[in-house]
Amino acid sequence: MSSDRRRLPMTVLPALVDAKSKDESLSLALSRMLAEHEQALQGDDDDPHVTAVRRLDPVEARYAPFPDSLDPRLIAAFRKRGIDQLYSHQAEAIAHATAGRNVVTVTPTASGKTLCYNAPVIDAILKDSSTRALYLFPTKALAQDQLAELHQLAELVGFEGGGEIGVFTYDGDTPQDARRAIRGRAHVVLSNPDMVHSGILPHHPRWAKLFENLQYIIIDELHAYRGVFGSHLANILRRLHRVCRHYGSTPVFICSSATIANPKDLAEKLTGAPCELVEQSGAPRGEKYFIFVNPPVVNAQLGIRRSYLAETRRVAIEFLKRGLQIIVFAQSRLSTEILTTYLKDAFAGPPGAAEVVRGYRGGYLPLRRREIERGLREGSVRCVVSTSALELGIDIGALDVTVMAGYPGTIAATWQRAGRAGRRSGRSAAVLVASSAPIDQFVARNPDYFFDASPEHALVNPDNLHILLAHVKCAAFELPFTTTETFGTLNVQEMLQILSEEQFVQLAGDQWQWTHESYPADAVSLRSVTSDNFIIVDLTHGERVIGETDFTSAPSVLHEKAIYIIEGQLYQVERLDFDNRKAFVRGVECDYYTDAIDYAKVTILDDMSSEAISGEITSELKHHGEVHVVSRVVGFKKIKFYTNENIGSGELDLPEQQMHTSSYWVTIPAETMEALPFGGADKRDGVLGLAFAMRNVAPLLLMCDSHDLGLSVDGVGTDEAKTLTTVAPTIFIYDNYPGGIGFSEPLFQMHADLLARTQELIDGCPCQSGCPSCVGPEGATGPLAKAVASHLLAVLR
Amino acid sequence: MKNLAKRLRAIVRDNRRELTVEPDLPQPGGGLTFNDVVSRSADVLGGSVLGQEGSACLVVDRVYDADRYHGSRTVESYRLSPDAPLGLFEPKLASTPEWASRTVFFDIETTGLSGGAGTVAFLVGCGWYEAEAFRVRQWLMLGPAGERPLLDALGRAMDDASLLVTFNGRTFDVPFMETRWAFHRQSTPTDDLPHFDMLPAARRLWSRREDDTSCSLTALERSVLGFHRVGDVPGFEIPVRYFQFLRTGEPSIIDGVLEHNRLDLVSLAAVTARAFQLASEGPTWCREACEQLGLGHLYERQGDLERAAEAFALAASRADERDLRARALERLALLRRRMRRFDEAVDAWQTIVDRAKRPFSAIERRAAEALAIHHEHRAHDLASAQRYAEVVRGQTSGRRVADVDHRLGRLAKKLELEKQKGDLAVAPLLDSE
Repeated sequence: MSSDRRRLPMTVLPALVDAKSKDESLSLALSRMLAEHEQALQGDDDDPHVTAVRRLDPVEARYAPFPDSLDPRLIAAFRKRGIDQLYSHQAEAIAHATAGRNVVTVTPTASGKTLCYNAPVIDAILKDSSTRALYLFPTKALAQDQLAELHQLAELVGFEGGGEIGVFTYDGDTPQDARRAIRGRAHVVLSNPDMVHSGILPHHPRWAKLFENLQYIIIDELHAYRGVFGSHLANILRRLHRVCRHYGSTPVFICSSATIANPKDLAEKLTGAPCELVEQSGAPRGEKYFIFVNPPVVNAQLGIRRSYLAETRRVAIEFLKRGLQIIVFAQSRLSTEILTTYLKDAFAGPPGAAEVVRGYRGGYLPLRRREIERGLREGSVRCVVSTSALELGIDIGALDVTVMAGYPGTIAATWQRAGRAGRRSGRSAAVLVASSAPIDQFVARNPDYFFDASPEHALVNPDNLHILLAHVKCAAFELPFTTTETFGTLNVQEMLQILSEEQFVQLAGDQWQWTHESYPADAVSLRSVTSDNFIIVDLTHGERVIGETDFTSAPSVLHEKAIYIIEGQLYQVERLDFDNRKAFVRGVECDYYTDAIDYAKVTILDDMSSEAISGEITSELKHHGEVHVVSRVVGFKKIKFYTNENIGSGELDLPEQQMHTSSYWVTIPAETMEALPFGGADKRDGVLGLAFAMRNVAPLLLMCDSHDLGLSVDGVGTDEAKTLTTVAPTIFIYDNYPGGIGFSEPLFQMHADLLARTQELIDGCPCQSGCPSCVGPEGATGPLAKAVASHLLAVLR
Repeated sequence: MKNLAKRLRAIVRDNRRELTVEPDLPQPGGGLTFNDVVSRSADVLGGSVLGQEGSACLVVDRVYDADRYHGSRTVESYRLSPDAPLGLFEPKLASTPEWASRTVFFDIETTGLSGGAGTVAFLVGCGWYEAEAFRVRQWLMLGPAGERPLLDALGRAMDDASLLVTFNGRTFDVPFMETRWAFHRQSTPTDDLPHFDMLPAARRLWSRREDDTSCSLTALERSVLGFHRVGDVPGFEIPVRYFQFLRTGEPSIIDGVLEHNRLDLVSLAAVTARAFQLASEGPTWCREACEQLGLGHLYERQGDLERAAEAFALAASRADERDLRARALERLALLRRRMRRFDEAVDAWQTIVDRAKRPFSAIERRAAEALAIHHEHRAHDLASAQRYAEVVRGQTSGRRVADVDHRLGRLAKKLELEKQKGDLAVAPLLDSE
């Protein structure tokens, strides 16, 4: 990397252009890409560099007057801030909330969503100073961000008669001695689900004043609560409902969400209550260009493309050279640091000029983060390279251009990141630079999929038994269950009966009394299913704990000789102490990372799809249901950075992990296999290649992280010639969490779409016979994998 | 979903970590109805059902006659005198003259120490003196429905009280009960009730080392009262016993917990009385140097400096441990300095240094430093100051070395200057000769 650095031409970064000239500068910067696209459209380049250019028309604002019911002091405060009227969606959301209806507002970035909840909350406090509100943010940083805004508003309102409006954050950082005062004085408590779970609900008597007067609960960034985290939140809110009932309050939920396919459904699943939906934004938007760039193939046979990071650097410089302010999103902490270095190096200038390019990610100290955010708003920071940390609603002002290094994984997240650029008027742009990952390649080559498809569904499964049981314990601790009480949709009385067998609770009269010394909230971690975790100990300079990993993923990331990456630093695992849940690592410098090879054996416990279509005798390919998974990490591959070359491997002997989860699966009939015009080994390669591709497309449809899903292929033994003639192979794509998290049934419903998208991925891939972007690298899957997979798909569809 | 119960059981058992005490007792239930449990408990524990039929709260009264011995003295001897120096221990209560009309000793037993809504005070005990006896009244919850009547009864007892005395109640018992009242959305009867927490006072009087925080009530009743418990239920076992009692309905399991709580209350009353007696009789009456040292602190806080000095001096002469003696002497020195009786302060510091052993303790090092300061700035005896500073230097390590070196450097310069001045002063005399 260092030799590269010296070769790069240094440019002096020009000053930020003024607002008036921005449109022109942007057009200039875009012109080359637009021209390239024009050319590609005319020629028949089957692997164009610029794969899509879309121009999104500007949108006019739609306004609405302040509702008459709002307190005049509040309206006056808004006017002081230059807000003379509301956008239509704000008025709509406020109307629902003040009428006591739960509401979820779906709005793009920078459309004034905070007003949708701050207005009803401050209004209610002005009208009755005993009113209380609880705000939930997925991260502490977001709560801090909102604190400043609310303080400002509370100050402007000039609350007479009742003293000040108390606004406080309450999270893990709140000093012990401040907590008592906050419990008494806060009208508005800004917190996060973790704190509500372990710090507020179990101590609800101390918060009696809050719960007695709780009128509003705000859930910001609703879309962040999906999968495990969302399933936990749904149960926390069930507990919150019980506590509110105890104190006689029935709070109204005001939620805000980025664009997802099912905001209303998600809000209702999380809050357990009906919700109104406001989805027509009244905020104006300037003209916006959306451009997809695919780095060119440099080795067609191996399917290797030019580094997408280098390509991102090039694109970013185009914009920076023309005096624009940009944000670059990277996929990992490591790539964030690499890109920051690249871009800092690209611009020489007066001393301190490098500070105009900044990195931003989790792990930076709050003070540094605030400084960068301020620099962005004020224009002194010209370029920020960030992980998804800046995707959520931290206020950084409106920038000119978003450059995404790699597809963010979901349509929703892509739009949200793109939304970081763009003012209410004037031109902006978003550029997506595809990496060689299958999803990226699919999106880059099928832009219509991105632009035309609805965004993903955010899925939760509050009735995951592991999660549910943990929260039933917490709930029983907080308030005794009565013998007629319900909790969610499953039979809680049966659970209490079992908890009483294990002496957690005891039936006394018509109540289940908590009869255990433990503090059950401590046994639950909201970001994973079980709270068991591994800690990572760095031995480089004495012993130092540098991180932790949840139990499920520990074997695959912390096995011996694994490369563990944190904050751009590479460590090699020297020893994994499985029994004591510790991994000992030492800092290394190397040019590869490791990828675990795991072997999973899936046993079907309950085929729920066959129940659904009982009576019909069909040879259905698709199924979903409950399965038992026994998995073991058996080895690992060493993979070179940037090129993804496989440069070595090793074997491992680690204990088995077992779990009961849900799965979607496809069984290919034996006769279909037999009829394939290929040899036994090739057939096997084809099935494995197909599975590889399907497993990569599935997260795209499910809006989940890639490692939320596990893959196992059954019926393709080593003696393939024999087995494949008699056995029908099965491809399992299962929820990679004990108890399942609710992906399988939707995937089952999307079966046809999954096969269609997979076929588009495979057939659209310009490689000759398989690459990491479709069916897997040829070296691993065999020469005919791509052809067989494609053939199979054609037959199966 | 197939066989929910089976899956639930698998998860619950899989997550089971902590082992509770193995129940070697009759299996739960045993055909007993709740009313059976209530009446049997009332029988075995010697109490009665609180309030009306079907209540889930038991009230148990025990009377300790005045002539009964608790440790080496009678119960009557622990009766608090209305002119006991309460304000000396708790200045905030100094202006509560009527505190003695009904002093209630208070102690609770809970289902856990973690706090939170799911832990309850299943047993609440109050003790007070009556005409001829000390009475302990306990309320025991027989189930969750018993908490409301318990809180109501306790509230009435609190309303009648003029002073609440606890052992660590400031941080534990009282906030805990406040949470329970808040849970049931009731007002808090302890809100404006004067409260005296005996624990800090006990630490002052009876902890032997500066960092000694293990002033437990059972330790104090042995050392101060000469009372030794037999067959007491250890604290950690209390929640488990209560849970077992709930499950089995067998009152004999919980009997020991009630006795434990009663003894705590009697001992609390007795220890409090002893502390007040020491304070009113003064340091000459004490048997232990640590008591005298503690009294000295209390007098000093109250502004009674002469009496404080007397107490510290007595403590220093009585102490047979180097650390305790040094603590007393240091307090004495600081007090004398505060009273501007510098020579006496120097005597005290000097005694510390004279009796110090290497390596110095923090107090001994501070004493040597104080002497260096005194001789440099007050006595203007630079040579002595330098000597003490060098002693300090020899006993100092780490970051503080720089400070000591700074002092030594300054002393060396001053000494040099003095020497020059001395030379100059002497020279003309020589000349004139």
